[in-house]
Amino acid sequence: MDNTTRMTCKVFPVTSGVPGATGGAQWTFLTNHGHVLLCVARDPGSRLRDIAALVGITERATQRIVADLVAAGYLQRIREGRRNRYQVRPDRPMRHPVEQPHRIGEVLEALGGDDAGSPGACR
Amino acid sequence: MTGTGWTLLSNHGHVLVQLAVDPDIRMRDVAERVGITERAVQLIVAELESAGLVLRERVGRRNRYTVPDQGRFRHPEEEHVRVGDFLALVRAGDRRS
Repeated sequence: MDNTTRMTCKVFPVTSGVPGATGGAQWTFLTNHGHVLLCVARDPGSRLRDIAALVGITERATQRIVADLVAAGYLQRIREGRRNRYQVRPDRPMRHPVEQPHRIGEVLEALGGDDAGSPGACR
Repeated sequence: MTGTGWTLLSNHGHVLVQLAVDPDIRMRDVAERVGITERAVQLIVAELESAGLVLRERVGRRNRYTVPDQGRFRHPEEEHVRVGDFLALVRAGDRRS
């Protein structure tokens, strides 16, 4: 087993001091699928290990999520030598009925996913 | 589709969108649209409120919800995102449909 799969780098210390109604749970507006997609959109050449560290999940979980995103047609896998590069397909619709009128590209744009120079860009 | 029920927005995200699009919506209807229980919606709204991302005002026997534009996404990777910018997109899409 690859040791790096257990390397979780927690980057989500919520220190807002605003306790949530359920005891200060660390909720966010995006799911891990959303976080991963945004990271790939910002930096298509980034490694899964780096995405895992930024999102705060394991590399194994990141692999599974990327596979989900590829299977759903959100990401296209492009082989480049020994590495994979992932390209976002912005024309795909959002999945949940509540957001279905929207294409993924619009949402990523609103989240700054098209701007590699944004403050939170994946490194 | 892989058959698994994953989405890009969390339930907190879905609930926020519903409140932003329809400030007078009932918790019961939010629950139905998002696909979670009414109790879960209440908890999420309370968390959004205590984080200052949703304001609640009493109108007669009902609540009205306002989502201030200047709120920000919480994850470090998205904390530069203003809630208002994200919701502007959602509202535009709502008018279109």
